[in-house]
Amino acid sequence: MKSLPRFAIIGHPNEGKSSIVATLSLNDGVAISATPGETIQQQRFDLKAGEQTIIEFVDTPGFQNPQATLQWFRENEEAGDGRVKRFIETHGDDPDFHHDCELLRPVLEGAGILYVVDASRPMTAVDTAEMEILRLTARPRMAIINPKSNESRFLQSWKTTFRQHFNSVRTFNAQTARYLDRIELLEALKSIDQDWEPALSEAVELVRMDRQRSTERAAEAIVEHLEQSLRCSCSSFLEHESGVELEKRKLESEYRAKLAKIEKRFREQIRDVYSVRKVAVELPENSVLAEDLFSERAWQALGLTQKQLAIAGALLGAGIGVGADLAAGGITFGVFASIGAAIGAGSALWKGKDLARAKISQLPLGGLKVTVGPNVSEQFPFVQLDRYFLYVEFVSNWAHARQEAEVHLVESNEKAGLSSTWEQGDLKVATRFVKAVKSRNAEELESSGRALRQLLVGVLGA
Amino acid sequence: MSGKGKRNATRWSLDQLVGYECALAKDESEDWQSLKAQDAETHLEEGLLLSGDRRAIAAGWLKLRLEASPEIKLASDSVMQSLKAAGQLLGAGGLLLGLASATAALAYTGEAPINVSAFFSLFVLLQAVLAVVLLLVFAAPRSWRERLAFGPLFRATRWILESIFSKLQALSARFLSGQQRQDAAEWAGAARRSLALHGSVAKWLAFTKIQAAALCFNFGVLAALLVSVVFSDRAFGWQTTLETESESVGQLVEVVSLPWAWAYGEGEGYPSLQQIEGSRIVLKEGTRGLESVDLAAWWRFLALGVLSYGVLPRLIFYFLGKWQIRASLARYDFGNASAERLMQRLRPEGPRFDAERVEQGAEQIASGVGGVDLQATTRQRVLCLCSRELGESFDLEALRTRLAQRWGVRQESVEVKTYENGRIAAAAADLSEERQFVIVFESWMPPIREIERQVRELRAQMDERNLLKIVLLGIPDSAGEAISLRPEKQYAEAWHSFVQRLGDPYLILDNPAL
Repeated sequence: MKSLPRFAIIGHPNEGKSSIVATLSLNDGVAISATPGETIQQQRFDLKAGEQTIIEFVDTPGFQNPQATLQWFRENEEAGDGRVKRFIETHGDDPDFHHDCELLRPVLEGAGILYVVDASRPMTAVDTAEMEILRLTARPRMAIINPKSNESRFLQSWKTTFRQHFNSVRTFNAQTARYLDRIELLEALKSIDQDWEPALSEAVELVRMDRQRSTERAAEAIVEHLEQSLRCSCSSFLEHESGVELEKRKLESEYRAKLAKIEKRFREQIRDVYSVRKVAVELPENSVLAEDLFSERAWQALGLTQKQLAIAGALLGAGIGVGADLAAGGITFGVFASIGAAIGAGSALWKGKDLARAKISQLPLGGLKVTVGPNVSEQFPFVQLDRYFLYVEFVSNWAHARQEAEVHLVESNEKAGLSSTWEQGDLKVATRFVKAVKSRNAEELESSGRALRQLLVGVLGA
Repeated sequence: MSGKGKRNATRWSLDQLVGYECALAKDESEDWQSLKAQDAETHLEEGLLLSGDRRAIAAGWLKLRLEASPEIKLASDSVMQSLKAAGQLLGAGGLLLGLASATAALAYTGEAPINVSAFFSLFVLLQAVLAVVLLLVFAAPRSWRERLAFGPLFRATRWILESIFSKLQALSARFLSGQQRQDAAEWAGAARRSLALHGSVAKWLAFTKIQAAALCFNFGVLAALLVSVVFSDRAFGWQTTLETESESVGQLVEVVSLPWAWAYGEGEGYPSLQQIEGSRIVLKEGTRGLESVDLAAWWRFLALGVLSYGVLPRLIFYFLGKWQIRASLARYDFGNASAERLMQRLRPEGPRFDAERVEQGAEQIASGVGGVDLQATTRQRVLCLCSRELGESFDLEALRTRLAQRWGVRQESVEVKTYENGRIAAAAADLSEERQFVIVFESWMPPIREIERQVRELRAQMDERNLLKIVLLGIPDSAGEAISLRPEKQYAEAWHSFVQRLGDPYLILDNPAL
């Protein structure tokens, strides 16, 4: 059986080893803490593509006796490559050296070394000792600079020393690393040992394929939930007109709750798609995603621009007009279509935050039917779509080590969503889908949904 | 102030010590600036501060602190009340046990007299033996006592407990987070520190309480004996299977009665030979032939025996314990890390620990405002130990200047020595104890086992009551600063925890930045 590439993440306590493991293995179950010495046993975390393990990462405790260990290594030079084994045999039962033995165990078992260091601080004797120990193990090794601050004064001296002790050096911030940073690091791992190159190339390819699958699933989830949001409505029956106002308010609140529920389900699904399961992805208060769907701010930041809205309104309205023309047997020569386009463009410009208007209809056998929703605003589909899209973008780039940090989205009065960047062609695809949902045309819905999915996959995968 | 008055002012009571610890514990969580501001408001007499008498300064500070913070007084009173309640419970337990056991021993059905030998053995002889053993322990040289205390039994018990503790630790590590493990280690360190500082007081306090309980036990025995004699007709006799003559018993009785024989002689304080002969129980002859007068002659002997060999020694030991508590309180050393920190706090306008540039404090000291109780740092030379690599990365001369300024001492008094491969203890091995030892570490490296071992090794070769300082280097700011003594909070917290975990009462983090 072909052995998988295995890497031991090694370093001083509290340098962010577990964070690196969490981010690289996409596992938010790794115990991370600001307290030094959280990890006391070596622990393996696999990077998987689907169910297939492609790379093994071993989280290790920090060095506790680097100088004493180095001294022992130097005194036992005659052991050569067997030094690590002999060290573990000699110190295995010494509780003082428990951590040092634990961190060297995966090295003994053939793992490559990823030495993690926070290069925003000066180097010390302990660092030098640690690097020398790792050099003496003679295993392929890479230094990972995991900066905890923006301080760069000491970076050069670190890099100079790293070049003497390691095959390769990379900067990788476990707290902010995005998907591409992860891929770049995985690619870079090939350079530390040629023997691992084929396995790592295959692993990177599998990661990319897995990512593609996730993107497709996310796009599908967006389309599916957008359809649900656009169709969402609440209704009830009344015997008399007297309670209509009260019922309308009740239904409005029910309608909002229903939309919120759809969005919640969507977010859960997306977290599942990107394996962010154990940690609650908390949106900060200033995030537009934390805003209520119908808030002024959400509608200012998301959805289409005025110009796009006019185009979208025209596209939607013209569609309705075309329907009327067809109904008239084509004798109107497209007059209705022109009128519809003009009405649509005008209505789309109208602020549509509270357009989940209640409709009251008289029932043939007596009584009234009160209905709230679906939302009639032309802007609503795009605001909702942007919310879904931004959430996917946010979760798909979530660094699994970011367990304690807050995530701040850029606050701006300008449009921040995806739809506002669309050209007419993309807008047409989205509008076609909205229209298909409204018209309840199953065939058209299927076809326009596919087109929208493709559009989203393209944007998410970019 | 007269000599006696001064003695009274500096004599610490147990209440004060408890209050002092409560106040320091409360201040532990406060930041340095708040504490300085708070102390400035207490208006401690300047003359007292300048006297340099740490004991008197601490007492004066405590008095004002307790007045200003009733919650500390409440906490302190609660501890004292708890101790008192524990003592009362022990006393009540002893009294009840004494009453119950003596009543059981004095059970009399009229068929056979109460066996004097049993009562005597249990309530007089055993207590006399215990008192003698205790006296021997006190009288024995310290080395003997230590050999006795740390003998094979102690070592075996320690080994068992250590094994259990180590297993429990390994087990708990699986369930506890790093923070929880750190909290537990800090808690254990605090317990060790308290034991090292207050172990003697605690030991004598426990001794006193036990003696008080034993005293109550004897009162219980005495009360049971007197009540049974006064309110019922009891016959006391003695018996033995051995070929023992009454004369031998008489001689033994005379020896035992020596402490009170001068006041209560034969026939009163102890039975005469005739009474001894007359109260001998021979089972085959029955008790009919025995004289009632002879059978009643023993109770005074037993009562005075309990009084002399039970009550009196316990009373003596009780007062001995009280005296030892006072002696321990008098011996309490205000040179420990907590007291040192308090003195630094009270030092008017002295250099601050954090945030502030050291020059400010140094300038003030140079202008003569400070200089209060610099004791450890001014009287002796200071030896700063740094790793060779630290010396290569930083300007040690600048460090020396900074530290001299910080402590308000002449630069020549501060010596900087480097060590290699973590051999701190070796670097300090040949140096005289007259020096104040300071270890300089880079704050940004979280303390590890290796450092813990190095600090312990250095401590082992020092007097355990010599203050050992840890100074943390901060990362110099980008304005070309050669040395920074301002560690970042995140790093300093790890070091603060490290010092707490070590539980060494004479180890101080000089610039904790908290």
